[in-house]
Parts: sequence; C-alpha cells; structure tokens
Amino acid sequence: MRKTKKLVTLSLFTAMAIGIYVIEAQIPVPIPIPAVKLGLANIISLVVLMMMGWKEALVVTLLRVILGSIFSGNLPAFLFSIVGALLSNISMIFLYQYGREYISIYSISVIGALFHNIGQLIVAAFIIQNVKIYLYAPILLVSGLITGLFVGIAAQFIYKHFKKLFFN
Amino acid sequence: MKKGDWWVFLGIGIIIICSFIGLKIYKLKNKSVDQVAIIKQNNKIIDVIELSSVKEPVIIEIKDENKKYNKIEIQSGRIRFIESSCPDQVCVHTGWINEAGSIAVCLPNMISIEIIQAQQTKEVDDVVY
Repeated sequence: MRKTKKLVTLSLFTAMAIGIYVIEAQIPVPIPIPAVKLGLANIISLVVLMMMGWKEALVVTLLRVILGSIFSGNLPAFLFSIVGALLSNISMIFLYQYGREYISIYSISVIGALFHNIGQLIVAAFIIQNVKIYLYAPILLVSGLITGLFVGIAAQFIYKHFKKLFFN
Repeated sequence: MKKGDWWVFLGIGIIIICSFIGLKIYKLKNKSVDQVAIIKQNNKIIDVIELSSVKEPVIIEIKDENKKYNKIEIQSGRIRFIESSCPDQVCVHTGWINEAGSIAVCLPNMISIEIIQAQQTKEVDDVVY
C-alpha cells in the first residue's frame, strides 16, 4: 500500500473509532455496573488488525483511547481505558498472529473483551486499594462474553466489505 | 467457526462458572462468620449479639419504666421482634432479619435492632443508614 493511502486509511479508521467511542459514551447502559459497556470501538481495532497489521492496530487503539477520553470528557476514566484497551489489544494481536488457523475472529474478539475487563479490574483494585473489587469479576466476564461475541460478528462483517473497498 | 473455537468457549465457560461458584462460596462464608446484631434503646446500645455464635434460640425481654416491653427472639444467624406492647406492631411484622444492613425498629418503644458486619464494630464509631 502506498504511503499516502496508508496514512489516510489509518486516519479514517482512527476518526471512526473516536466517533464510535464518543457516541457510545452517551448510550445509557441498562445494568448499573461501571465497567459494563458495549465496547463498539473495539470493532475498529479488530478490523485494522485484520486489514493492516498489528502495529497499525496498536497505534489506532492508543490514539482512540487518548483522543476519545478527551473528546468524551471522561478523562478520569482514562487510566481504566488505556490499561484495558492495551491489554485487550495485545492479547488479540498475539492470538491473531499465532492462532489464526485454529480459532476464528469471534473467539479472538471474545478473549479481547475479557482481557479488557480484566485490565479494568486490575486498575480498579490498585486505585481503591481493595481486592474485594474482584467480586465484580463474574458479571464482567459474562458481559465480556456477550459484547465480545457481538463485536466479533460486527468486525467480521465490516472486514468482508471493507476488503473490497480498500484493496481492489 | 473453526475447530479451536469450541475449546476457547469451553474454557471461558468453565472460567465463568468457577468465578460464580467462588462468589457464592465467598458470600456464604461471609454470611455465617461475622454478623452482629445491635439492639438499641433510646439510641443507646444495650446489647450486642454475635448472631453466628447463637446455637439455641434465645428470647430476651426489654422493659422500660412505662411498662412498655418488647420480646426479641434470636436464632442462629437471624433475629426478630416476637412480641411488643406497641399499638401498631410494625416491628413484629418486619419478621426475621438476617442480612448486614437490615434493620427492625419499634418506634413507639424506641427500640431498634440492626445487623452489621463484625469488622465494622471494631473500626467505625457509629453507622448511619
């Protein structure tokens, strides 16, 4: 891919991720538990990982978390977001690089979502200095399973159509 | 869906089930260990009972100078007003209470029972709900 095209594509993906992130922050969650949310912005991370490679996916995720936290006015949650997003992205990259033949994108997405929640739990336990926060773990695992599956299906769908658009 | 997916989902399912079992065990343990009932009359603590250490059902009677009385029954892990001289009988109808944070009150006689975690009695001066 030419350098300019790559730059534009990455910028577009980052913009999309931030847009999704900001809009998602406005959607009320039916369950009153802090860390439960859809994680739709993860779709973009997954698509970039599949289409362009792991370095680009990491860059897009980092930019999305930093800029998204600023734009959505949710800066206190920045630490939660960045640890969760990095952990989830690294696990997905690892699985995609080495386990692509054995597991589909759905599993990769689910594991990514679970690691996102685990990262947030770790940060929360550090911040409030109380291990009892891990009592949330079962609920977060279930929510991660559901949202991760949804994100995986969405990413697979987008990937199928974006491939024709960008790489013809 | 590829072959490895089933193993992934099986593993995640096992982890989730284990975490729920762990949560259940933790809650059960906490429930039986350290719950304390505090009985107050006129806002003064008159009795503190560790509910889990009660083996046989006990009935205690609290009287005040105006011939008002309340009978409180205590069993292992739970406590209730069994009889009261007050006209509305709200405290009796509250029934058994057994969870930390729950409370039964007899307003006319100024008597209340509340259950708190045992650690809180050591660390906190007073608990307001």
